[in-house]
Amino acid sequence: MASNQDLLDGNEYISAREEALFARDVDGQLIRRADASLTDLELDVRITIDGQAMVVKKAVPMRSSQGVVLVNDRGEVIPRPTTIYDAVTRMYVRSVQDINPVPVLCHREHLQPVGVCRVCMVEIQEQRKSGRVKKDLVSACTYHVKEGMVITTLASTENPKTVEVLKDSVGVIVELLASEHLSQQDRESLVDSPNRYEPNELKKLVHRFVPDPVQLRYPPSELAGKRGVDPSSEIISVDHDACILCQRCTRACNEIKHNDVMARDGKGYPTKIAFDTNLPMLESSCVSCGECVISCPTDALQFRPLVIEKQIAKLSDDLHLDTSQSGDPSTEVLSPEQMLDIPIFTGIPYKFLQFNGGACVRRILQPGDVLCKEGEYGSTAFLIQRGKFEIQISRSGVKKSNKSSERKGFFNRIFTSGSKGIATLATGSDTSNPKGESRLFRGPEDVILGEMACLNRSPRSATVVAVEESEVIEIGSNVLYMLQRNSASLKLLNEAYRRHALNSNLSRTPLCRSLKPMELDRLAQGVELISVEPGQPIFKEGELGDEVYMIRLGYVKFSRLQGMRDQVLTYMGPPNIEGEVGVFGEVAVLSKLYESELADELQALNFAPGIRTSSCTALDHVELVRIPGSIIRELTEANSEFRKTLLDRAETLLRRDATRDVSENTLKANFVTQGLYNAQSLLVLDLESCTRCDECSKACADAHDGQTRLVREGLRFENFLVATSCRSCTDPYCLVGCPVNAIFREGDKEIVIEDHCIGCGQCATNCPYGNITMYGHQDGYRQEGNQKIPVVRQRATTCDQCKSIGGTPRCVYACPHEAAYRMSGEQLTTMVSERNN
Amino acid sequence: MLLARKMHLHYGPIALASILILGGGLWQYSLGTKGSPATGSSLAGLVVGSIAAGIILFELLLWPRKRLRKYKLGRTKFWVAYHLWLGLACGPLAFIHSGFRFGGTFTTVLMALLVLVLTSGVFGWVMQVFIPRWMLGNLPQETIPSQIDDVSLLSALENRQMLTVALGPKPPNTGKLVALEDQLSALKSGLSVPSMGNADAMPGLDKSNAIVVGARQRRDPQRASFGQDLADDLNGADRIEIWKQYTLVIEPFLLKNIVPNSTRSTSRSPIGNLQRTQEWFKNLQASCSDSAFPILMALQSTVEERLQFDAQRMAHAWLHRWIAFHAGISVMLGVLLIVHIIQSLRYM
Repeated sequence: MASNQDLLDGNEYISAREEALFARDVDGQLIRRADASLTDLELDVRITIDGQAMVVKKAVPMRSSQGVVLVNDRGEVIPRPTTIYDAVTRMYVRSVQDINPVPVLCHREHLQPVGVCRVCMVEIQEQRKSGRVKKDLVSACTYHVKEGMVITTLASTENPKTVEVLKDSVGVIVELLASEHLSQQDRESLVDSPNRYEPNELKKLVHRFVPDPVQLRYPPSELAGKRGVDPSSEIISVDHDACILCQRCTRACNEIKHNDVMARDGKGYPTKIAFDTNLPMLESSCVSCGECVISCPTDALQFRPLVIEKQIAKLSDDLHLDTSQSGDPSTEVLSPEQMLDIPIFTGIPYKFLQFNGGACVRRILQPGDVLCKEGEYGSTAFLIQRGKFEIQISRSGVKKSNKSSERKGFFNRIFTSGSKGIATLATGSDTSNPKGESRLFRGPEDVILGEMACLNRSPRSATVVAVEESEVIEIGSNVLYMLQRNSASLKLLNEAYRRHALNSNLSRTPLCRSLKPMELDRLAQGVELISVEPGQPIFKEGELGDEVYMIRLGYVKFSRLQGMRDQVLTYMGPPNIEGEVGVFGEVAVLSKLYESELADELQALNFAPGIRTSSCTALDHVELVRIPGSIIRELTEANSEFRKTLLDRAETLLRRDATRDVSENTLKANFVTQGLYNAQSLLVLDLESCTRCDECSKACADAHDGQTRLVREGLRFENFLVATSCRSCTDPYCLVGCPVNAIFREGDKEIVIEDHCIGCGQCATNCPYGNITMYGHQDGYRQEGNQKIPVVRQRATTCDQCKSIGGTPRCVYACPHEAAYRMSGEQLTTMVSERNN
Repeated sequence: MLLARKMHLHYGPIALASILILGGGLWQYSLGTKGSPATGSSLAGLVVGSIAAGIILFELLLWPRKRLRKYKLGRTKFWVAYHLWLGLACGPLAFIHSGFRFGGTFTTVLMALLVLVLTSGVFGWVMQVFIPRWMLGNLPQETIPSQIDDVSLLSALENRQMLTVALGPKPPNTGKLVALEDQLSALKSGLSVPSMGNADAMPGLDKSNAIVVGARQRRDPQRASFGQDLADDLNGADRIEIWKQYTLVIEPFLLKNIVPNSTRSTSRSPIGNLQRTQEWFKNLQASCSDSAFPILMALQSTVEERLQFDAQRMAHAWLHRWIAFHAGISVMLGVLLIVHIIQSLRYM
C-alpha cells in the first residue's frame, strides 16, 4: 500500500511531515513520532519509577525486529527517544521470567509503538517550565522519559490510590473493548480462571481488570457482531468483529515482513483491517506468511485448524518422527503448552508455537553422545536444560566432514546419537590436552549452544559431547529469531552469542595464537561487535585508522581509487570451512605501531604510517569484531612473542600492499559485482560449446516431477553463462527469516526445502540471484456452489544438487556437449583466467 | 575441424577406437577376399557388415537415451562422443561390407540413406561447433528461445509505461495501441512465467481459475519505475511524434508473432534490420529535440534486442532443425537395415 508520506499531487511529492501538528507518522493516523539526536544517546535522564530512582539515556539505538542496531548511510547509529515502557522494562524485567507490570495490547517490543489502545497507562509527574508539577495519565509505550519525571505503574506499592486510578482507567478501556469485541460466550468463559495458555491477550486483560466480565457496564455499538468475517483464505481466518484495530498485524505485515498488504480501511466504528484495496484475503497479494496471525492479540486472525494439523503432520514427516509410536524416550517433540512452560519461551506467541507444532524437540543425551559435530552445517540451536557438555575445538582447523548424517530432516541431520565419532573424551578440567585441542565445558548457566551456526548459517565451530546425562531443547532458527524479539531473552542470547562467537573467533585467529588465555580474555573484553549494512563503508582510503577488524558474517570488498575509478583489489569473507577468520585493517594500525622499526621500509615503499591504504565496503549484511588499536598496543607491550608476530605480519602486509596490482581488472570487478565470491557451486554453461539444446533444463525437470529447478538464463561471466540455479552460497541469504524453518542447508552445500514449506516466498525474495522458484501443486478442491475450484498451494523450490535423487547433478550429467559445469566462483575465475592466457 | 571443440580429450580414445574398428574391418576384408571378388556375403564382408549394422543400431539408441534423461544411463557427452565417432566409422565399414558396390536397388537406397544420414550428421556437427561461437559474439542479449515472445511482450509493456511516465498519456490521433489484456492476464494468471509452459506439472488444471495459496512469484510488467528522469523538457511536438512512431512502427515490430493483428513483417518494417533501425532512429532523432535523445535511445535498445531475438531464432533453427531430418532418415535407415538383414539371412 502506498505510504501516506507519498501523497502525490501533480508531479510534486508533499511530505506528510510538512503538515506539522497534523503529521501522520503512523499509517495515516494523527500520531507523531519524535526524533532523537545522536547526542541524546549519551545524555542521562534521572527518573523515578514506583519510588525507585534510576538513570536512563535520553535515547536508545533503534533496533530491527531481531534486535540488531540500525545505522544510517553514514554508519551512525539511529537513535530513538527512550519511552516510559523502555524504562519500566529496564527496571522490572531482569530475566526472562520477569513480567513487565505495564499491560500492553497494541505494543510489542519489536514493533514501532503507536499508542492506539492506551492500556499501557501510567501516571507521570513532571515539572513544567512554570514550576508547577503536572500530573497526568499517559501511554507508556509512546511517552518519552524526561528529566525528573516521576512514574507510577500498576506495580507501585507506595501509591495505592494512584494504582486504583490506573486500574480503573485501564479497566474502562478493557471493558469497552470487551463489550465491542468479545462475544457473550467468550466473556462467560472468563468467569473461571482463563486458560494459562490463552492466546487471546484481551481476554487475559479482561480477567485481570474487569470485575464482572458477563455484566459489562458499557453496551456494545450497533455495529458489534455485524462487521463480518473473511473466510476466503485457505490458511487464515479473519473475524473483523474480534479485531480491536491495534495495528499489530498491519505493522507486522508492513514493517517486519515488508509485504505491504495490510492497512486500516474506513473511519470511525466501521473501520477494519483490509488487504490491498479492501480485497478478500484470498484475492489480495497476501503471501500467507502468518506474521499477522502471530502478532494478533485477539481471535481476529487465526490459523485454520486444518492448516495447523496439516502443518504438524508435514513437519513430523520431515522430521521422521512419529511421536506416538517412536517410543524413544530420549526424543520428545514438545507441544506449544510444554514449550510455554519453559521460562525462556514466555515471550513467544502461542499462535507461533501452534503453527510451528513440533518446532522444538527435547533431547536426553547420555555421556559420550555427540550433540553436534565441528564442520557440519546446522540450522538448529540447543537450549541447555541440565547436564554438562564438552566443547571440542580443533586449533588446527576444522576437517570438514563430507559424509553428513544420512538421515533426513533438519533435526535428525544435526543430532547424532551414540558415541560414534568421538576420538577421545578426557575428563578433568584441563583447558588443553596433549593433542593441542582446547577444552571447554558448557552447562545450563550458558543457556544455549550451537546458536552461531544457526544464526550465521556457517558450519558448526565445535564438536559438542555430553559428559554426563544431559537435556537440551533443540530449536529451529525461526524460534531463535522469535526469541530475539523479546528484550530479556535477546539480552540472554546476545551475552551467550558474544561469549561463544568471540571465544571461537579469537582462538582461531593465527595472530592471536601467541596470546595467553588471560590476554585473550582481555582482548575479548575490549572488542565490540558491530553490524554493517550492504554498501556501507567500513573505512575509506586515506583516513587515519586505529582499528583492526575480524569478519564474523558477510563479505567486504577492498578497493583503491585509480583516477576517478574505484578499482576492486580483493574481497574477504566469513570464517572459511577450516575456521580461518578473516582479519583486515591491520596495515594502518601496525604501520603506526612499528613506525620506528619499519621506518626504512615505510619510506622506501612511500607509505604514511597509520593511514588506510584502501577503502573497505560491506558487500552484504556484515557482522564484524572491531578491535581497538589501544588494546593491541597494550598486548604488544605485555607479550614480546605477540609483538614479534605482529611485526612479521606488518612487514608482509606492507610488501603485499606495495606490490598490489591496481590496474583495471574487469574480471575481478565482475566477480565481485556478480556475487561470485559467495558461490560454492555455480551452474555455469560454456557458451562456446553450449548448443542451447536445453537438455540441462529438461533433465532437471524430468528428474524433479516436471519442475525444472534451473533456468538457462542469467548473468554472463566472460564466455560463461551463470545459469539461474542455486549457487550453494557460503552465506545463504535464503535461510534468513523462514517462518516455519523449512529451508536449511544439508550435508556439504546443498540447500533443501522441506515439504512443510508454506509457500510465503520469503526465501525467494531473499535470494538476490532469483534462484528460488515458487511452484504450485494441486492440493484438493474447494466447493463453491456447484463449482469445484482447484486449490493450488505454492511451494518454494530450489536446486539441491540432486542430492535427493542420488547426488549427481542431472543438468551436468545430461549435457551432450560438455558445456555445463558445477564449480565455485573462484574456480570459474581461475578457468576464465587460464583461457584468457 | 571436427576436433575443434575442447572435447578432444574425451573424443581421442573414442576416435582411436573407431579407427581401430575401421582398420580391423579393412584388414579382415583384405584377408577374407584374397583372390576373389569382394561380397557382403563372404565371411569378412559379413563380419564387417555386422559391425556396421551394430553401430547403426547403437546410433539409434541415442534417441531413447535422450527421452530417458531422468535415469543415469551414462553421461550424455560420452553417448554423443560414441555416436559421432562410431557413426563416422560406420560409413567406410558399410562400403567395405558392400565390396565398394551399390548392388541392387534396395541396397543402393540403403547406401544412399546412409550417406544422407552421415552427411546430415556432419552438417549438424559443424553447425553446432560454429553457431554457438557466433551467437556468443553477436547475440549478447539472447534469451531462452521459448521465452522470446514473453520477453518481447514485457518489453512492449515496459515501453508503454516508460512513455506514459516520461511523455504523459498517449495523445489522440497518434494511432491505436493494441489491447494486450489477454496476453497480460496469461502472464499474470500463471504461477510464474516459466511454469506456464510447464503444463506437465499439473495436467488438466486450469490455473487461471485455481485458488492459489501462498506467494505468487509474479513478474508484474505494470510496475516499472524507470522513465521519470528520461525526458524533462520535451515539447508537445516531440511527445506526439514519439508516441506516434512508437504506436505505428516500434510496438507492432516488437509484438510480431504475439498479437496477430498487429504483426508487421520484418521485411516491410522500417526497423526490420540493424542497419535500417539505426538509420530510422537517426532520422527520428533529427526530427525531435535533443531532450528526446535518452528516450529514443531506450526505445532503440529494445528494438535492437528484438532484432537479436530474431537472429537468435534463426540461429536456433540452424542449430537444431537438422536433427528432425537426421533422426527421420536414421529411423528409415534402421528399418531398412533390419529388412536387409532379414533378407540376407534368408538367402544365405
